[in-house]
Amino acid sequence: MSKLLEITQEQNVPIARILVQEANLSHAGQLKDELIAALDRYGNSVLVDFGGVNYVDSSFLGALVSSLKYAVSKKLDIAVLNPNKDISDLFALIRLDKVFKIYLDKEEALTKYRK
Amino acid sequence: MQLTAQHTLIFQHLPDQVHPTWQAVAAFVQQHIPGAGRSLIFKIKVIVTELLTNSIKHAGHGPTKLSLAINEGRLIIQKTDAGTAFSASAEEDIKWEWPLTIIPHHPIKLYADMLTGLFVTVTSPHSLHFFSEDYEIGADAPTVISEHYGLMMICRACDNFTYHFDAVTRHNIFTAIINL
Repeated sequence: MSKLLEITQEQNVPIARILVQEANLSHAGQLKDELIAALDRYGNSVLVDFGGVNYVDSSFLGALVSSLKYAVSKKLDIAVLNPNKDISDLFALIRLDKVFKIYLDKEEALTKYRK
Repeated sequence: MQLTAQHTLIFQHLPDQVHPTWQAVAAFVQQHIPGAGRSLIFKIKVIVTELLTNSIKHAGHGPTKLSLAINEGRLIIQKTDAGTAFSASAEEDIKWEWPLTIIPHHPIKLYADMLTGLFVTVTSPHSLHFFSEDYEIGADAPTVISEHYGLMMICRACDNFTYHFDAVTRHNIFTAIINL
């Protein structure tokens, strides 16, 4: 199975770029697995880069929330980077914009999460 | 009753068919609702994507039928499948045996977290009406958060969302209506 996330580090902050354009229930389990592995490996909060994603479904968002719960249990965070308008509106529709920090500016996010 | 346009699509429950099916819906909408704005297109995409995803998860034998109709200033999106009849965990003990034999006269909470709640009212032995609530949150980040959003998304993206169980065919019919 090919990777769903391409993870790089900038200023010691892991940035997980989603590699599919339509992120749906086919990818939900893999998202959770790879995010949890990244949290464990880097021991730092993770920025999930939605810049290449057109749309996400409820299953994918559920997996993102599940991953966030794991991060919080480790006193870490998962933040959302570069969502398009549809994805931002989805977060707002179900009020997940109250749960996730959402950044359109990578430098601002890095300033928040670098150690 | 004047019907200005209608269209039916068949969906075979494959995840990689969701996006092409949505594109067919978008083409219908753009043909029959000239000047459809981004907000309307977004709502329709949410509804169609989640209805089809629901079928992937719960539909049984036979394909899902997705019907579109534009009628008296409303866009009606209806999904019909032969899968498992609607059931959901609820705070109270509800027996989801269709047709329902006990009709609660109060809303049933399906699930809720610190941000939102999803409820149904039973409108007949065969029918449910969904609605959602928002909750005030304090300054601290919410700690109790749901991971189930499909029905919630549909409910919040449309103006009226219902479920009907057809006792003759034993089909499930979800209907989402957007006022245009």
